[in-house]
Amino acid sequence: MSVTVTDIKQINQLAWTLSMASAQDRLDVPGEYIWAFPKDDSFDSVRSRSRSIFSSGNSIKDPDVIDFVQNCDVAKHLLNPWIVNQFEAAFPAWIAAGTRYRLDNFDLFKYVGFSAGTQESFINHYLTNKDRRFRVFRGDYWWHMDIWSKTNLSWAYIEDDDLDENDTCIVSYPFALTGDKHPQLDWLIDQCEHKGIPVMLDFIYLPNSNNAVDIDLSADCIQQITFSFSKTFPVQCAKIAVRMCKQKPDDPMQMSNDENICNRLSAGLALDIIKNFPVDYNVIKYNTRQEYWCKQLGLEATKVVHFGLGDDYTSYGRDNNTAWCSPFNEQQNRYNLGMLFENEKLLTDIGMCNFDNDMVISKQTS
Amino acid sequence: MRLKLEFDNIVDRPCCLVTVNQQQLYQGEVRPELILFSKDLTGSVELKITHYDKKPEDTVVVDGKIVQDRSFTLEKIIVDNYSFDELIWESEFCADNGEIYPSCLFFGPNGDFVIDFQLPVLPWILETRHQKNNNDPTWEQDYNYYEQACQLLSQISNK
Repeated sequence: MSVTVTDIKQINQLAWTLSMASAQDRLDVPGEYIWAFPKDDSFDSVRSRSRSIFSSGNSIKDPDVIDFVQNCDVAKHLLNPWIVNQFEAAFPAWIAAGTRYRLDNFDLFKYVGFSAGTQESFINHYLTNKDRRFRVFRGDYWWHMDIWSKTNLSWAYIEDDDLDENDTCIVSYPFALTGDKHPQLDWLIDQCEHKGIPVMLDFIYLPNSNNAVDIDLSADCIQQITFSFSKTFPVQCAKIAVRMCKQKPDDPMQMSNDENICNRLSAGLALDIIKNFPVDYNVIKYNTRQEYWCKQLGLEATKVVHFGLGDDYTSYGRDNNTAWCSPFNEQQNRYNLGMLFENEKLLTDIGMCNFDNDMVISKQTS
Repeated sequence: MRLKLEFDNIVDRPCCLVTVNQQQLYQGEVRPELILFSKDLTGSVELKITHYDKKPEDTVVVDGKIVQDRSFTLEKIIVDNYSFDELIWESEFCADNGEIYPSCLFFGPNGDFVIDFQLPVLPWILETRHQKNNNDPTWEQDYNYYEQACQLLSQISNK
């Protein structure tokens, strides 16, 4: 049995180099957030950014998708009152066409709604269930816990207390922390079904996953499922997501849909993207790169193509404040490999990458 | 080495002499900002700022109160774009009358402000801070990552 040892030294050097390159505007694909740009290339600025280089869950900033998006004429969608409906009609088929996961009884979710990022779906879920206690597994999306805490909603980790009829659960699948099925998901669905506890399944990383998801969605407790574009395509700030429900929801988000006032620019862009890129585009393009980098860095490749798992390279010499953005962000062992994929040319030029592109071509054609 | 000194509260046109390892970099009237250069310096550096040419009549006393006093204050030392920040206090002022004032940035009497540091300055800053606060145990390896990143990126031309 081989034991994977995280190459902390090489990971650190990559993090510092990418951070410095960002400060000097030398990345092949620049960051998309203000916080991703060190204010200068001084030691403190570069060090600060180096500690978050692998931290987010966001999509690979694929240059071909970026080029495609830059050439989309999204303004025309503003004039099309049917564009959101067209996207909502096309989306389920795009998901259903995926062969790297299994969603039995997916068609029970008849009500498809454009969501301004999954956060809009989550907020509506919080609002609708405000009198329930929210439950998540440790390591799930920190935003839930942070918002519940800040808004004084009742919540508890699933691991910390028994499930109660007045609870409601949210679970990411693949699970955000590990890129795989949460080991207690089946148990949770059984319990929730037995006790009548509503469950929202967040298929946040589904398109980037490979054989991680296999579920029968017919259980009554699974009432809503959500999908995020920001983890699949570099359109984070277009806020594109989808919520699908078995019963028609009665909440502000559904009202916006019914009023036909959803963001047409984003829905139109999303439709353009799914017409041009298959759901497993990233898995096809990047899984050999994931294998390469995980082998190089001593990480364990996850079933989500842009993640690897390993020891936390940021914790060395520190005993607190290692969580980014939020004290509930406990995902320091999950490495987002996106910046390594995106900056392959830079890293090759400076001798930090010797990925063989022919490997990808032969794999795809074989 | 690029040395930037920032002064404040400059009263009555005082004069200073700036030396590093006995090499004179500046002599003349104190200005709010001095940018000075010294070539071929490595290792230990003694920076000395001498307040000179202050005479007894430059301190004006009326009814037992000092109403004007030729003087100035050192605000910042920046070496190779790295500010000493709080480490500026790791210094002393030796007045010509023999009095020694630790951590004194006020140039009242004639005398020498002296601070010792090392070049390159960044590892000296990081190490000294860690020695004082015991809060940065990875400073040395992080400095090495930083240096290595600079070198790696210097191989390729700017965009």
